[in-house]
Amino acid sequence: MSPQITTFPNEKPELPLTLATMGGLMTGNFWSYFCGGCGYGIIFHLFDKVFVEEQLDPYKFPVIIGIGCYTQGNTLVPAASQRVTTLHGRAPAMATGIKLANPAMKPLILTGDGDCLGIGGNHFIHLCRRNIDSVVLLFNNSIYGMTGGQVAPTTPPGSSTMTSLGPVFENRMDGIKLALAAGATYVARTTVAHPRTFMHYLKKAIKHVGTSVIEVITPCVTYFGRKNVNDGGQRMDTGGLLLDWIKARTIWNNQAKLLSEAELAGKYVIGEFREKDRPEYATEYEKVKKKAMEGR
Amino acid sequence: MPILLMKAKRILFFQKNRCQGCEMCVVACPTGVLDLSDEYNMRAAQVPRVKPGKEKSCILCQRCEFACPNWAIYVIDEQPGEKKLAGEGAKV
Amino acid sequence: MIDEEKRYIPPGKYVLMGNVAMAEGAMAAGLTFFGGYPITPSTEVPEHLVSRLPEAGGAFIQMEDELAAINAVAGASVAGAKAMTASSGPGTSLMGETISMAAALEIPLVICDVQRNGPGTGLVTAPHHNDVFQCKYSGNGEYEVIAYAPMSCQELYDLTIEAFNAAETYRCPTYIMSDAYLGHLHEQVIIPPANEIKKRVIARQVVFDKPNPEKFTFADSQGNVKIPPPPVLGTSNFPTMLFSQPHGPDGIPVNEDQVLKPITLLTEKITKNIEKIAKTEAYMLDDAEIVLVAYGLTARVCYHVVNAARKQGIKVGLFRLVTIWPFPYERVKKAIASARAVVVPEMNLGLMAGEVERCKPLSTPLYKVPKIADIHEPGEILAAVKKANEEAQA
Repeated sequence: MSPQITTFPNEKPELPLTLATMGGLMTGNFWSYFCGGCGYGIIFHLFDKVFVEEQLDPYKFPVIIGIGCYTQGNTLVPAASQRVTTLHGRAPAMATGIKLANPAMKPLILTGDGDCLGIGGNHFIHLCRRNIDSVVLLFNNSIYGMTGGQVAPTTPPGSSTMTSLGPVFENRMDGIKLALAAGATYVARTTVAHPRTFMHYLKKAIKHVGTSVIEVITPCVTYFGRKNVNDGGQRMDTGGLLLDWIKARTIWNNQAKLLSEAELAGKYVIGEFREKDRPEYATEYEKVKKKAMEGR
Repeated sequence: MPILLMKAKRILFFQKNRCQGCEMCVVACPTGVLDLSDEYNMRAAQVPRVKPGKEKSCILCQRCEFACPNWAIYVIDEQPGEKKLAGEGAKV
Repeated sequence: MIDEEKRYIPPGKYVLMGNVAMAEGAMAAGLTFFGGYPITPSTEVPEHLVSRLPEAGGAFIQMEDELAAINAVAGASVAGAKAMTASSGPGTSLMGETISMAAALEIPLVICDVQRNGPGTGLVTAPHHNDVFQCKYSGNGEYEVIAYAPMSCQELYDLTIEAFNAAETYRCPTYIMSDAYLGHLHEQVIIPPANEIKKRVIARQVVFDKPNPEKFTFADSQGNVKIPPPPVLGTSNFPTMLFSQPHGPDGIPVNEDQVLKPITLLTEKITKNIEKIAKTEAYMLDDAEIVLVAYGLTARVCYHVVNAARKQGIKVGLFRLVTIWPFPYERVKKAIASARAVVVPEMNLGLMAGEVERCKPLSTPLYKVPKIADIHEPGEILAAVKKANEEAQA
């Protein structure tokens, strides 16, 4: 039945969270396909902690996963959660259908920079515009990792990738600005180097009613790191070096306000960008339904 | 040695064979407790170790735990029990 | 409180536009989610359902494009709704990937394809049965679909209810192949009383005391193909994961050396049940020397052609395909086995004629009667029947 299970002999005591994952339930061990230094291992650790701590009802919080390296996180999300893996880029559209079919649910959408801002850009815009009650976790590793390191809409200019000859000269897009313009109501960005902040934002997003977008800057060591150099000229072929590179480029949004546009180029601005309440789609549609039902 | 250090009934535990040698725990540690050792595990990855003499500097802040992509290094109670899952969370 | 009675319109005789009849058929079948995008000539379907669905407690949403529409429909179906979309050729060609995914995950879906001229944008108000292969092959991979070809507004109502039942039972993408003329035809439709309709409808089960052991099509110990009811997100009856790769019974993708079984089951669940799924009609076939094979609006014209030709002494009969997919090869073979000639009029250049050709003896001549962007005049098909008859007598 099972695909290649890659686990390594573990010793006691095992982290209890490991046994609560889907892979942990099946193998009694940590079952993961992620590369060394990959940010997704970290992100799923934090996601699982929040899921378990907040005691989220798996029937109310389906996990809708797009296509990318994080799809392999199917083995790392909590065993109790209900997992739907969609097509590349279509997670926000499926989540809209799920939400409207069962308004009591709040889809947790796991998507990547290529999935959400490339092929799924349109669906992402309209999910935010409609303010559908959901949480979008946008994992931004600035590359298409799953398919082998191709250039992504978020790859910084000057980088080297598998489908760009010479340094990338395309402009890099900002998913947060897109979410803000489209109308998402809780918008935040953080990195894997800020784990407690990420958990804090995730908890807030779960409680927030409306579309929450949390972008997480994560390292892709195998492709982005190995093919690019840091400021010191070193190839970033370990997680530590790439994490340092990300940390060096990270700046909080209240500090960013003091900098000019030229100084901000190439930096990742983190923090909360918007937190407000706006009428949520399913709630407003319930009012439409109620009126229609009373009408005839 | 899976148990890297122990403080007040909490241990810094290391799953040696899960490590992929990415050095993120070394970078994440705020007090510089860890560095890369000369040991290799069964995945042919160079694993970290507590720097000799730096055990006392570890404050069990869990930053290395949150930086590890393979959940290979973590802070855990000496006798983890059923209720640990909720208890762990209370720290955050 | 949802008033289930609002779902049904009072029984009686109505004059309904084709698209509206199709929408009402969907409501009668238990539709609870419609995700669509406006495209001529199917726009009347969402325009009618925007008010009808919320009255009955369902959800209607116009999505930002057809890809979003079909994905929202797939998501809603996964979450337990009976879901449908309506589009035309250019829209359904966008939906291909998702239909392939829905086939892999065995998600019940209904797609109304109100066909128009193509390729490309085409003449948007002209009927053209050019999607008869697109509906089967638009998505990547090997899977089977069920496609109905109604020929009247009454059939648009009734066959839509059947299409929803087929989607629930066989958990495959199900199409209703209408066209620009049929969609806008205003005709009498007889709506039966609600309690009669309810008896015909296979409802979606959304409450489970305990989960079904099987979530996907499987072969039992005797090798019979069994299709369990669809699992529902948000209940205990849900597989370990939904991921559109060939998977085992728990939804987890299998190793590469084990893909034969899951992929074969996707096809066998339809081909082994073809006798139950395929619907055909025979008109005056018993002593027919010339056999007309037709579907959709063309079949409607052919009934008149058969009557007219019989009056002129030509022994002609009609074999009508009510479902064009799965194609009933055995039945067509039997119907044309003793014919002296086969005439296949189609509102395209002759797409299904190829499938019919596979069923006929090599020596039997086959005459195509193509018609592009319009419906046949009875005289055109009659002329072809006469020609076939003359050449057969010679």
